[in-house]
Order: sequence, then structure tokens, then C-alpha cells
Amino acid sequence: MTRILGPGKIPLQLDLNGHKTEVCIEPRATLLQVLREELDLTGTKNACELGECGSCTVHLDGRAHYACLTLAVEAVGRRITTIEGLAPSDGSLHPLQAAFVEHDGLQCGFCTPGQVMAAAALLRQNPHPTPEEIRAGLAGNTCRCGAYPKIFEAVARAAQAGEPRGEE
Amino acid sequence: MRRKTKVVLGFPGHFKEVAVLLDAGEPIPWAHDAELKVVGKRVPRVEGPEKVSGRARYTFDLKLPGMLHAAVLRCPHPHARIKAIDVSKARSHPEVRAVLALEEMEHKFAGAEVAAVAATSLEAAREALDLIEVQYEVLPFVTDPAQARLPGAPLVRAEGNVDISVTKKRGNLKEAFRSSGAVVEVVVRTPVALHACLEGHGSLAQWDGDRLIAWDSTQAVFDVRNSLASALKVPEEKVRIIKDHAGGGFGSKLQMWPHTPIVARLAKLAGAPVRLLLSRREDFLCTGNRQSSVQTVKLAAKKDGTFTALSWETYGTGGVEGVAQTSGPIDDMYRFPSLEVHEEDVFTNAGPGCPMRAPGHVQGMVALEAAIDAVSETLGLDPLEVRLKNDKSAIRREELKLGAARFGWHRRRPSGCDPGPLKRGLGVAGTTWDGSGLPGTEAEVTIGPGDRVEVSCGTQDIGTGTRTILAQVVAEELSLPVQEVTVRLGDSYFPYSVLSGGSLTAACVTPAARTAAGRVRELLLRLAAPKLGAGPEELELSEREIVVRGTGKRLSWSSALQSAPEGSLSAQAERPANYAGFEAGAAGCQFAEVEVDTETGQVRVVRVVAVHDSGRILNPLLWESQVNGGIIQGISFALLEQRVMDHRFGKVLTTNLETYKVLGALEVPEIEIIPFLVAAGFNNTQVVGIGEPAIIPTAASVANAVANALGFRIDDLPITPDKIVMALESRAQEQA
Repeated sequence: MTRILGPGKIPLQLDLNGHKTEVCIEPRATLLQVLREELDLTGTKNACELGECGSCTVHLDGRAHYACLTLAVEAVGRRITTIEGLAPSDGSLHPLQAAFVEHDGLQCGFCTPGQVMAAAALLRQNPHPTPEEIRAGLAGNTCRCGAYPKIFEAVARAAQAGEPRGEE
Repeated sequence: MRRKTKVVLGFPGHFKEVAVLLDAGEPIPWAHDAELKVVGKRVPRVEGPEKVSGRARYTFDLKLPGMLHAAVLRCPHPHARIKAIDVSKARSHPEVRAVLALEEMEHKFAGAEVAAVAATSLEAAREALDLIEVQYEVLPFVTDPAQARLPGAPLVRAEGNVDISVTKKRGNLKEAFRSSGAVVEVVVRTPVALHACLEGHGSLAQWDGDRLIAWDSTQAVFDVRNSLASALKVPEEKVRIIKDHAGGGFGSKLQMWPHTPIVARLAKLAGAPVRLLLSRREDFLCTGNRQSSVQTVKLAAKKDGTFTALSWETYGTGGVEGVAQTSGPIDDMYRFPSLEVHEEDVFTNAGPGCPMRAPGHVQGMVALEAAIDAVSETLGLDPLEVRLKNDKSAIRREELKLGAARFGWHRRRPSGCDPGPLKRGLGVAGTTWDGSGLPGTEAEVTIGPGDRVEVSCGTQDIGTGTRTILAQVVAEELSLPVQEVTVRLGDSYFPYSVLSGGSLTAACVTPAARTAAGRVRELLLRLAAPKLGAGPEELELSEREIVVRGTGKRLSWSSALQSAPEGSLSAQAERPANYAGFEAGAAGCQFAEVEVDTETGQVRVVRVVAVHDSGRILNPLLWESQVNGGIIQGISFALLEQRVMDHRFGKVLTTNLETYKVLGALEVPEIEIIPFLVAAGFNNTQVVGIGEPAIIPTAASVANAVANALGFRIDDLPITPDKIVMALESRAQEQA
């Protein structure tokens, strides 16, 4: 049988969305669990917990990572950005988010935060991707509704519109 | 008092005036060429900003103070009887607050619910499951539908494993098969498929005395309310179901699943809110599937391609429950003077089937369109011409011609003549689905106090855009920008709505909302009339003002509302039965171009051209998204998706998204969507649903394109590389 033996909770400091955030968690907790259950940052979605769908994509030091495959302790000392921290704090949308809305790069929206985070990481590394590079950049993010054509369009338009701004 | 009016129905070149009888208070339907300001425009999804910013809360995101976490013990055997169950050790776990041993003692599939626990953490709940001691008597089982049909197979249901769900017979098949120019037989197999909504199934329940609130990831708040009340033996009015945002459904959330009453019972026992979110594995085992099929289709045609007879014999399984009905579309599309249908649903020891986006139609269309291509090949005729000759729908015939021109159907070469190794092939298939709506859905529109403009309806938005089209229709009636209308849905305390399935939603909710908004407008005009010294019929709305037509006289809404009770006006409306329509439901067709790599067996869909009608297109932007989604899921079904069952052990092997493959970003083809204008009739917004029509032809057109590329058919879906390579190999050996 499974029995939780320890070592019990430990304090951690995370650099999360530009703020130092204290949490007290089991060392085996994933970043996804800590974000969603401890910090109530539920924009990062849980759809498979096995690194198969990309719904939990966040940024560590500006690069896309699956939060379900990352232990929270691994994220210590790195800049963590979630969908909640992508846009400026004035409540407006990041240009990519605005493009997703305008071009309907979403249907049910459950994969959308992950898609937006993957796209933001792509545009940081490659501000002017080709259509093939957009597809490759989003290949780790499943959309069951099949919103892909308009997701690609949204990312392409955001890239054309110029430098993405944001907190990172 | 019903009144008579005339509406123009049809499609370009074929419009005609039709007299319809409207119920009292039912507005005149918007004409197909009516100049509308908001409806018909590319309005972005109203909840888009919430969703892209991560603020939208889905059922999986909800928490309540003091909430407990539940986990379910599931039967590990495909068929077993519980001899003894002891939950005492689980109950004494320090973090456990409630334990429930379910009453059912016989379990008929691996994954069925045996017991459940609520604890202060999910880890503790899962730990406690291991403390439950169950002695099972393992019973004989059968998971392969071919085996389950045989005499002496282990019984899944006492009344037998086979249910004859459809039989139909007309004409003289024997004679037609004997005397026709060509008779072909195809045997098409389709797998059990899974909905795989990214937000799986989950519920959160909280009691307040004898009242229950359950937040449930559902497509049907009222159906879940009724089922839950019945399961718990409490009055329906004591149960409230809430669903704000849902992460997909595709049919898997149309009914209450066992976890919902389990959560409610645990919450009652524990005296605290309880949440249960199924894991991907549980979701794949227990919450529905698209039934498999083995379809033996015999089609006869005259030398000129005119169909004379069709015989349709199928069976398939969804597991312990589920009805496939693959013959659903066959009589709605082409003329078959002689027809015989015999459909069997086979019950097996696997998780239950349920509707999945265009149930039966997706499977059936693969077989029907395969047979049409096969008979066309045999007669040496163009499969498109054969369809045009036999299709009953004037709309679809036009769509086929339009699509063929745009797609470049003339490029299609005789099957198998591409030398390869990358062989190109073209295929076509049609669609039919009746999403013209049902009576009964209600909506309420309220204006005031203050700036409030609200429409509420107990429908759901599962990603289809229901919120947005409701806001558009109300904005149109009240002459407002769409952003000023707040939509409230997903709550069984709101006015009744049918479930969000069957492509019914748009055609059910928007007519009710339009009527309710029109009634509110009338109330507002009547309120304003004396203040403006004019009759209500002289007034019109303009940007939150009431204007006397042809004069400069105007009054603000807020001034008019001052004399309303509590400063607000509100009206409800119920959607009446359908009136006359042009052709039943929606038609449409899709053309697919594929490239088959004969060395690796890989199929790539290069391009799809889709022509669809669905009455009035309320919002082209969202409509295109629905069509894209149908096509992408259809390709996924054709090439990738299959729930793999190990029949020796009765266990599902594909319990995650790694092993259950769905189409991804790299495999999406170029898609061109052509809307086809049809003034459909049926209801006052003249909309017909598009969700299901869009998926129905895709797999069929892809399978036909693969056959055109290869020169022989792979009629066993999904068309995976191994099947192509083995088929090429065995043909090479035969030739040698």
C-alpha cells in the first residue's frame, strides 16, 4: 500500500510572477500542485498530470515548462511566470492574449492558458516565427476542441504586431 | 392567438415564400437578408478575456472553505462480485472524514465504483483507499464484441449480450442485388473512441441543511439535477447544479455519472463540502466512449450509377451500456429504393458508451461513403457524379459542386495510379444532421436597475460560443453593443434549457432569448410612451435611448426605468415548436487531400475544403471554429484514435493521452471553410446547429482519399501506418 512517510512540509521561497512568495509544502509536490492548490493560481490547468498535454505550461526563466513535471523545489531560484503573471498588472491583456481573443484562438478555453504561455515562450526566443515554427512551438500543447488554425493565426498576428510586452 | 406570416426559405436561386403559423408573442423571423447590426458579425467570444488570462474558473478550479477531497476505489476486475468489504481501517485513518461502501455488489467492468473516501487531503484519501479490504469473486467476462455475440459467451446482461436496436426493410433487395449493374460489399470497422475533454469529469458538492448545491462539469445542468435528485431520493427543487465554464464535453457530459452522487453522499456524511476530480485514467475508463462498429454494407447501383439497394448490417459495442445507431444518416442523404437495416448493440465488460459528437453518424458515414466510392470504382464512374445523381438534398448537391470547384476535384486521378512513394489521393463525403432545435427552452431578459442588461438561461457553454450568441441576439433586439449584455448560464436555478448536445443549443436558446428581449423592449417602449407623448408604435431604441421616430424627441432608458418597479423590467419567453423549414437540419460536404507515404505507412492530410450550411450563421468567427474543430477531431478519429483493450485480461491499455493519441498542432492540415447560405426556417433566429454536421464527413472523406491514393481500401479505422505497410506488403507478395 501507499503510505506517506515524510519528510513532511518544508518552507520554500518562490519567485512567482515578480513577487517573492513563501509556501510550506511537501518536497514531492509538483509546481502544478503548489500553484493550484496552495496558491489558488488556477489559470495553470491540470488535464493529464503526466506531461502529455501542455495545459499546465508555465515559464521558468522565460522558457516553457510543464508545471506537472516540475517539482516546486526545482523552481526555487528561478523566475516563475504563470498565465496570471503574463499580462501587466493593470488588468489589460498581453498582446498574445488579445490576439487569441480577437482571432478566436480558443473554444472551451481549458488549454488556452497553456497555449498562450507556450506561444509567449516561442516569441521570446523567436520573435518572427514561420508558420512551421509556430506549429513546432505549440506541438507540446493539445487542444481537444481543435482550435489550432485560429491559434496559429493569433500567434502569427501577435508576432507581426511586434515586440510582446509583459512582466518578464 | 396564432397568426399567419410568410417567410422566405431556401438558398440562392431557390428561394420561395412559405406560409408559417406563429404562436402568440412570437416575433417575425429575421429574414435571411435582414440587415442586422450584431447578429451575423464576427464578434469575439465574450468570455475570451477571462479564459485567456486564466481568470475563468472551471469546475476543476473550484474550492470551498473546509472542503474535503474524495477518491474512489474501483473494481480491478472486468467482472466480479464482492464477497466481503471492510472499510473500518479506512474509517479510522486520522484524516478521513467519510467512507462510503457502495451498495452495488456486482461490477461489470474494470473501473466500476466500489467505495469512496473523503479526507482532508487528496493524498490521505488515496492512502485510505488502500485500507479498504475487498474480497472479490472473479467472474467470467467478455470484452471483445465478436466473442460476446457467440452462444455461450459470459453474460454481461441477464437478458443477453445483444440488443437489436434498428431494423428497417423496404423494397426488394434480392431482386435489386441480382439485376443491378454493380454490387459491392465493404466491411468497415471503427474503434471505440474516447471524448478526452481536457477538463475531465468532476464535481464539488455542498449541503445546506436539506439543500444541495453541486458544481458539476456538465453539458446538462437540468438533466444532472433530475438524475441526482432521483439518485439521492430528494425533491428536485432541493438540488441546484452549477456549471460556469466547462473544458469540453463532446457528449461525455450529457448525463450524470456515478461520481456525482458519490460526492453528494460523502458531503452529507462528512458534513463538509467534498470535491472529486477524476484522473485522466478514471475519465478514460468510466465516463463514456464512442461505440465501436463492424459494418457490413452492400450497395447495388445501375450502370449509370443510380443506387438501387442498400443492405446495412452492423454491430458494435460501447461496453456495459450504449447504443451506436450507425444507420442514423443513411436514409437522410441518398435515395435507396430498396433498403434493409439490421443493427445490433453488443454489451461487453467495458466502461459504458454514451453519445459522442454526432453519435453513430461519424461511424456510419465512413461505411456509407466507402460503399459509394467502391461502387463508383466498380462502374468506372466519378464518385462525385455518383453522389450528385443520388443525393436527395438540393442544398448538398449545390455544396458538392461548389466544394469540388474550390478543391480542384478535377485533379483526382484513377485510384492507385500515383507512382509514389508519396502517393496523393482525393476523397469526398457528405453530412446530414438535424440540429434545428426543440421547444421548451426558456430565457429571461432583464434591464435595470442602472445599466444592467442581462439574459439568463440554464443552458451551458461548453466552448461552442453559447454565451456570445445569446449576448448578440439580445444586443440586436435592444440596439446595444454586445459588450453591454451580461449572459448568465450554467445554473439549474435559471430558466429551463435543454442540454447542450445534438447541435440543438443555438436553435433552442437564441429564439427564446430573442423573444424575451423583444418583450422587454415592448415593456420599455410602453413605459416611455406617455413620457414622450407618443404611442409605443412610434418609438424605437437607439443606444440606450428611446426615440420618437422622425422627430428629435428622445428619452434615456434610465429616465424611463425610473417609473418601473425597482427600476427594472424583465420578461421571460419559451421557445415554441419548430415551424416550417426548407430542408431538415443541415447538409454539407467535405473534400480531403491526403499524402500516403508508402515506405512508412504514414498518412498526412494535406488539405480539407469544407462546405457547410446551418441556417443563419449567427457569428462566422465562432462558426468557423466549430467547423475547424469538427474536421480536426474527424481526422484524429480517422488516423489516430483508438481505445485499446486487452481482451485476455479485460483491461484498457490506453488510459492516458500518451497512448490514446489525438491530433496535434503538427498534423493539422490547411482547412478552407465555405459557408453556404440557407434560409432555413424552423425558428425566429433561423439558426441550425453546426457542431455535429462538421465532424460527420471528415473521417469518411479521409478514408476515401487514402483509398484513392493507394488503389485499395483500408476500411479498418484508425488508418495507422502498420495497417498500410502490412497491406502493401501482402499485396506485393500476392503479385510475386
